[in-house]
Amino acid sequence: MCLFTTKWIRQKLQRRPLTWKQIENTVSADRANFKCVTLLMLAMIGLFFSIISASNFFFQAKNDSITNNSISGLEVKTETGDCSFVFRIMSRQSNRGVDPRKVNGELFTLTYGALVAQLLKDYEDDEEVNKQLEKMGYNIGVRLIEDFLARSNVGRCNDFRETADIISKLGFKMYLGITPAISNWSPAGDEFSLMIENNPLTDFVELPPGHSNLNFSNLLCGVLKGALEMVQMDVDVKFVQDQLKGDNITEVRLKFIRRLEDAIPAGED
Amino acid sequence: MTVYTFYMFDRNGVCLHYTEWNRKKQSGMSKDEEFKLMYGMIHSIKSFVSRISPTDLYKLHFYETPSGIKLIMTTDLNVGNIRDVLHTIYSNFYVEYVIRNPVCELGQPITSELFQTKLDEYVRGLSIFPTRVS
Repeated sequence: MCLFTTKWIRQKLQRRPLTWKQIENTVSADRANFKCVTLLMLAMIGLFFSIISASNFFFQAKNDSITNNSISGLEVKTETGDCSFVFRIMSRQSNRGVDPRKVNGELFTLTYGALVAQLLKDYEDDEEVNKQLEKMGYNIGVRLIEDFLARSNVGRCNDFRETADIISKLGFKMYLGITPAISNWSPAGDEFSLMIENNPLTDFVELPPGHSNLNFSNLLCGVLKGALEMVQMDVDVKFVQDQLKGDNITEVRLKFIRRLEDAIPAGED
Repeated sequence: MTVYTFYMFDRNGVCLHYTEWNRKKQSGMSKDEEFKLMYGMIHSIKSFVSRISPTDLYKLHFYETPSGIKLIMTTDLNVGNIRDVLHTIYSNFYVEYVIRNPVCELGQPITSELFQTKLDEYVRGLSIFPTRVS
């Protein structure tokens, strides 16, 4: 800025000799101008840095969430990068007037489909994909339960039947908009099935041949397992029927294994 | 209304007397062990209460979610039931700024400054906060 000013004065001086007073005037005028420009520059620099730090934060957040999951999560995220971008924009638009927690159902289905498709490409093995989906679901579940408890304000369940009711009528309703029927109770009351008629995760899905071992919606098992583990229930969750494989209904079986105890503080036996 | 059990201990922890009336559940251990446990609990509560107290008289509020998150707040005696306050802290602050923040690792001390400042703002703004009656 200073260089610019002197150059400008020199030009003026070259054109015609100035009196000292005139030089002083131009300099002070320029100084006022300079102040404005500096402010503008500072504002721009500030904006620039805030953008940089914001994007840094965003990337950091993304990276951290990736390490939280698994290596597969990383590849999927880079691959479906466009998807997540669209997702963000859509959710921002829907903020006006509508519940910001709700997203377009089809977009959700497609995003989940992209995730499973990418996992299949990466692992090339149905069993391994099932395992990864369950792991991701588990990581979702352990956080989702807190959100669920905060929103629903339900207390501790007295028995497994009550748990089943809450999972179906509150949990599935809240997050997937469906209410699976509860059936096939074991005589001991420690095992039941969730009958899902219209699984939103499989809306546009058709399993290609040769994937009979793939449990497309295995993420759900992980979510249920993770969420129940956080409320002191060790539960085994698995798919026993799947409409994708030609069954009449999709059936998820939950088996209560044991009650988990609170951690004992260090130093006590 | 009913009465279940009655215990009486001397200052050395000897159980002087025990009676039970309408007790529905047994502890599954010998009576001697049970007395020791009961005395131990009372003893540690007493020493705990005097050691941790922020002032001479205080009230300890405890809120536990089904997921085992425990929230404890100590206030003065005039504060009534603050279950809703603790639930708000859990749902509007812990879930909002920690659980939904992928950078915050679960099971680790919370490092989020946003959580800290928001919580601080909330507690300072509570109607029970500024009262100084003593």
